[in-house]
Amino acid sequence: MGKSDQPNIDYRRYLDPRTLAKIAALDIRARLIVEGFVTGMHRSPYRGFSVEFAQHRPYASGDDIKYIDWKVFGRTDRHYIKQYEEETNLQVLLVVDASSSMNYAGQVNTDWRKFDHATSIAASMAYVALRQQDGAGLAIFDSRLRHLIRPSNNPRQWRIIIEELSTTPGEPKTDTGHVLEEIAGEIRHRSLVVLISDLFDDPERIIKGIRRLRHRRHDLIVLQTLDHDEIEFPFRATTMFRGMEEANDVLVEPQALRDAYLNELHRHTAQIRTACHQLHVDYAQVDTSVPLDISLPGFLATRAARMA
Amino acid sequence: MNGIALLSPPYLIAVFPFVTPWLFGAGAAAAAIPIVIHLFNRRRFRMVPWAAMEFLRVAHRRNFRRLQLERWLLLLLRCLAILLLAAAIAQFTPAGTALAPLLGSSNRLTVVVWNDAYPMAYRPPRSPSVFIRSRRLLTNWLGSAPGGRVAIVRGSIYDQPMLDRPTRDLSLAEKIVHRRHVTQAAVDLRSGLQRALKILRGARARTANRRIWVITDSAAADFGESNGRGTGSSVAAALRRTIRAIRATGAKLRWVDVGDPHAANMALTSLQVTHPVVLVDKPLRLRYGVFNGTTSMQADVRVRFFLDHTPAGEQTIRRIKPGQTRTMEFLLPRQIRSPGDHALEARVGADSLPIDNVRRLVVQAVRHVKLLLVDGEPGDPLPHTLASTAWLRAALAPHRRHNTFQPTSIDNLQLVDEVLRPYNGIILSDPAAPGGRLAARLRRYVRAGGLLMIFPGPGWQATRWNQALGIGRKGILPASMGALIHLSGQGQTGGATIGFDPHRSVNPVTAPFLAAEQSGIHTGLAGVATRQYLALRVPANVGARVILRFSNGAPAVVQRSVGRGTVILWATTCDIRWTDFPAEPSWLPFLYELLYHSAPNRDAGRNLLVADALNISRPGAPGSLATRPAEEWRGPDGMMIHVSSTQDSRAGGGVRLVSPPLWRAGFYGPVHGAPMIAVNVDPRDADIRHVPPARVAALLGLPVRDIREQPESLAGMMPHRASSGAAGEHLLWLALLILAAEALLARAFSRYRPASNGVSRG
Repeated sequence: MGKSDQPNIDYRRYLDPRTLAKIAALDIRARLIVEGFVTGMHRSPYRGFSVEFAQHRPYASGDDIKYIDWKVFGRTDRHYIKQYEEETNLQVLLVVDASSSMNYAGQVNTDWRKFDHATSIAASMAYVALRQQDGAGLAIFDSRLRHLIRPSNNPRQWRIIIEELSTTPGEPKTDTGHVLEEIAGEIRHRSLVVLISDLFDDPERIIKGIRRLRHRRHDLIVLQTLDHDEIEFPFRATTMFRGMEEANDVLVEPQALRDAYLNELHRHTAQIRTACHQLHVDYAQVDTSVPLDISLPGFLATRAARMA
Repeated sequence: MNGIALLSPPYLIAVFPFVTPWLFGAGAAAAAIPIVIHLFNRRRFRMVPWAAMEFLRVAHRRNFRRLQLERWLLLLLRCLAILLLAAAIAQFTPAGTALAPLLGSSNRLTVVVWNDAYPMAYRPPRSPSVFIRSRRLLTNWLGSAPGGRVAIVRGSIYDQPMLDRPTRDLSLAEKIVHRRHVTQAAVDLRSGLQRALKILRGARARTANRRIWVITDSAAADFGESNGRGTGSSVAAALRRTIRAIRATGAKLRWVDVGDPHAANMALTSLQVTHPVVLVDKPLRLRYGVFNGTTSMQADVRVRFFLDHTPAGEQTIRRIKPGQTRTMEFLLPRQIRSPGDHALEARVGADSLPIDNVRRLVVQAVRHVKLLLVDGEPGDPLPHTLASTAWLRAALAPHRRHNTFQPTSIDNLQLVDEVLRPYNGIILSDPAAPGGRLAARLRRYVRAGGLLMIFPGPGWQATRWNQALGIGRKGILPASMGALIHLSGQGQTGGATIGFDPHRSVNPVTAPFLAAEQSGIHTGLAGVATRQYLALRVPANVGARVILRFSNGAPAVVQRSVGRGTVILWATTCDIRWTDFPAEPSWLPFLYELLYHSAPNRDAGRNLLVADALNISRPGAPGSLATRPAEEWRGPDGMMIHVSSTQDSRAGGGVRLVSPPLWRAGFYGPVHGAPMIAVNVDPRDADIRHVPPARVAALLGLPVRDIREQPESLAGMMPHRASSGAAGEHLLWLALLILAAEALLARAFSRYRPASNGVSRG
């Protein structure tokens, strides 16, 4: 079969969470995600992880003259400095929350848990990093750090990460702040730490952990992964809500309590978002009902533009 | 009160001001539905595992009181809305309750004066009766729920109230109107308007919009335009005054004319015997009147007569002019063969108002007229000295048997112990002035219906007689007796006598004599020689009437009605000592005519108009009352009435029969006996010719625009405000308002703002 005979596959249609939920194998799912948004973006959004030319800027006193682009000088008779986007040997550590709260699946797509969404993100980002010869690692946690795979660009790293992500969430409790502090103590190289969690924990402790990572000069991305139901609270009929991490039950009329609930949620996220902003940490809230090829590229593109 | 009584509709209505309290009860029970749903929902919920439990619990804890408040508020509104809906459907009648002002009930009061007198039964060709048309108008209007309060009063003399208390319950008013039928009572719009005015004045001050509708046929009789109800101006003036008083209160008045412009009616307006005394086996002459209430000359009007419900002859009236009442006499071909009560009836041909085509009469026939002759000078038993009543006896009982009058003579002293009641009349001839007790008995006898005829004589003591029987309103004498006039002693030569002048006094007694004189027959009254007479002075204010005068103008015979009886006072004697009259040929017919027209009318109280009550005296042993204090009488169409009996002390014994007002025309009598009374409709309402609006306006002082002729609907006659609605309508709107408020509040309590964002950057 010749190249022209190959069917024109639209990978984007496989990126809908409802579709992804039907694909059990996480590696295939991640490849589909990455292929999908690469096809859609026409250029890699992960420039920041590689050693690539970014732009010229006029020479200023104090600049190292070895970065002067002499070819440009020859053509324009002006001194320009060549700038590169990032240093090489980037270490990406994907920190995935595997507590019971991540087991929540929405009312519409009951097979697609927050954990599924989080692992998809993690797998996709690992795939891209490894494809660009960067190191990728994984940390799985609930109330404690359950697994830590240190970043590496070994070709087998992808399979190791995928196998680890395929485990089911464990402990009902979560302790994100403590885990972040533990991770900060574990990894030595400056790394890009991507925290993928619903952050349903004490915000003060979470912020403390983030601060600790930043103190160790790690770059940090916080992806708060929430189900659409948690964001919208679309319940109507009288409902008994049963805690996934705690034993308490609450019988409420959701419509009457919706505003109050959303206020509490917003207060929580706002506290974390503000802290992230102050600590120069990228924060994003991820809705599990939105396809990853829409949400993820948008976020990464914005981040890249900000860091340029 | 037992349980059933507690559950009876009137009691419930009294406790709960609803037309259909059961419906409200069901609605009140339905108000519990939201509570049941609420409790049911609390037990029926779905279970959802939830991750963001901390936020939910905090939100729940912080908003628990507010949520409870909102929940109970919504629950309360839902229950209230259902309750109000139930009240609206059950037609809440807040009149008289504290809720009335809160509910904003209309402050309009409409008082309907509805003419339900018998002329409204007139039925135009191929149409329902005028009354039914008016009833249809009213029911349609009430059925359209015009709102406000309504009262309905009668425009007739019928005494049963219709809806004299204003009510907001228009369905009740509609039911009352729907059940009403035309009565046989006489029209009385003025009393109806006065009742309406009273209702308006009794209405609360905040009743700003007050109006009166007069629904009538605008017949001529309504305004007394003809036929004897009084002069047109007097009846219309009374109506006009009442209407002016109504309009002075600020109320609006509309005259709703439902009459037929071409209404026409023939009616028998009277039926009576020409002589009050009806004798067995004697010719009976009837006098009757036929009214032509059409717009054309009526020719050959046939009137049929019935005696004791069997045909007794007929008479044809050649012609009757429009608006004319033709009075005719008819000699009944059949004679009454037995004493007692007999029913007479006259009928004209059928027309569109049949009720007044019949006239009924009950007469009591007697074999004799019993008279007691009291002789002040009984005379000697020898034939050369005649008693003073000898001329009377000769005139009253000329035959040994079969005399019309049955005189019994006693002397002056026997009168004291004589029982008076059995006699139809007492004739006193020159007796001594009665003492106090006898005078009192005589007064009672007259007032109870007896005839007392008094002749003076030589031993007459005028002053004592005046004192004994009395003059003026409290007495019974028709004139005060003065001095004895001796014509011969006054120096008159050759003319020491005086005759009568029948032309000076026109009355039923002298009428035949005058008629005879005019036809050339010499009656001899003028030539009667009288030599002495008592000077009689007739007071002006006692209703006395001079029957006959002397040629010099002095009263010769004076008559006065006292109570139900009659007193006749002569100025001269009943023998030939003062006058030659008893020896003249004219004496006997004059005395007979005088007695016929003055004898107590035993039919009095037996011939009534609709709305009159029975009140007659019947001979009977007083002891019979103990066993039969009351009895049932049969009336027209088999209806029964309750007649109570009491001992009649005034009439010297016997039984007095009394009944409530009688509202149906026809014959009434004991169940197993002959009819004893006849009831007829009021003949003054027979003129039902239509009075056009312009004339009505002129008579009543109303603007023509306030008169509505033949309206199709009452609703369009006087537009009402759209928001006037009944309490039910208000409640319905209130319930809908509460439901809307509940929906808004429920929405506000659970605001939903979709906020979909895949990834929101911090």
